[in-house]
Parts: sequence; C-alpha cells; structure tokens
Amino acid sequence: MLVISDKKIKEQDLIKAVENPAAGAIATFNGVVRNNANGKEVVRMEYEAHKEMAGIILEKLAVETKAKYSILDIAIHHRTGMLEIGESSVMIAVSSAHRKAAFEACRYAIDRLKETLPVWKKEYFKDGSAWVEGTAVKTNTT
Amino acid sequence: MCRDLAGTDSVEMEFNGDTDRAAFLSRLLSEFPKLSDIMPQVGLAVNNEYAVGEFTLKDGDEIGLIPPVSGG
Repeated sequence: MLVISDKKIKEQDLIKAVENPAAGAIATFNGVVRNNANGKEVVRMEYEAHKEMAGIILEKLAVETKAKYSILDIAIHHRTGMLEIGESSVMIAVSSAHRKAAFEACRYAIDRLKETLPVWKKEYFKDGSAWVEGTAVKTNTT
Repeated sequence: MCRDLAGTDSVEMEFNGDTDRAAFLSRLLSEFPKLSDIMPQVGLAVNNEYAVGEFTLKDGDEIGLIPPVSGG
C-alpha cells in the first residue's frame, strides 16, 4: 500500500497492509502537523505533490527499503491538501520477523522520504503563509 | 513555487533536434525569466525520474521542475 492522496490517513489500514503471519514486529511512524515552526505559531499546513512522480518515488523507496533491511512489507500514505494541527501528514508501517529491522527500516523510510519525495508544504500563520524551505533532492544514499 | 513564478503549472515546448540540459534551461529561462533566481536550487526530472547529470531530450519527454522538497 503506497498512497499519495488527500484522504484522511488511517493507521489501521497501513497496519493491515503489512500484516504477515511471519511478522514478529510491526513498527509505525506517524508524521503529525505541529503548531509551531521556527518560533512562529502555525495554524494549518498545506501539502502539495507532483502526484504522478510521487507515486513512482514511493515505489522506489519501498524497493530501496526492502533491499536494505530484511523486512516483510512496508506501507506508506502521504496526505495532500490542507491539514489542521494534530492531523497526520504521513504514516509508514513496516513489518518484519524481528523488531530491529522494523525500527531501522521505518526510520530509514521516513528519512529518505523527506529527501526524495516530490512533495512541498506551506505553513499558514495567523498573518499569512509561506512555503517551507526544502531540501535539495538526494538521489543516492552514498 | 515554480508555478507561482511562471504563472502556469505546465507548458509545451518545441525544440529543434537534440536538446541537452543546458539547451533546455536556456530556453526555459528565456520564456520564464522570473524563474532565474530559483532555478539553481531546482532539480529536474525527465519522465518522472530525477535527472541528476546530463540528459538528451526526445520527442514527447516530460520535464518536471522539482524545487527543494519538504514532504513528510
């Protein structure tokens, strides 16, 4: 399950997607909209994606994560559109036989997602809004 | 960001013969000079794949302008 959509993220769906009788561990990461950034109060956040390419990059990320860690499955949902404080913007679920790989793969996936996914976020303050200064895409991990 | 500066989110361009990165950029900036300041930080994707080094465009290729990302 690799999704970019404006639908509300449902943790149970992601967990179900990676469930496996051979799994002894399922690790999840939940990225949530925070009410502040760089000392300024944030009232909401808007996410925009290059949808077609983001889907492809998520697939590459899943392949990359499975190659690097011995996991059974990975599911990712990145949400787009206007989000309120406290809502999930991205969720990742990983299943593996043992917990070490699940934790490490989950962390790796969110770190790499933040370096490669063609998604941009805009912070809304009480008095205006601004695109967040992003990171230049890092295609290689070396 | 690029859409705000260029005033559009997509455009079709016709080139004569082979077009490499430099030729593409030069043409892009001549049509959308407002992108000049931001372009050094903008990555390029050809047909939904990040194009890090040199490339040659073919008929029908789609180029994506990818400013520094902030997903997650």
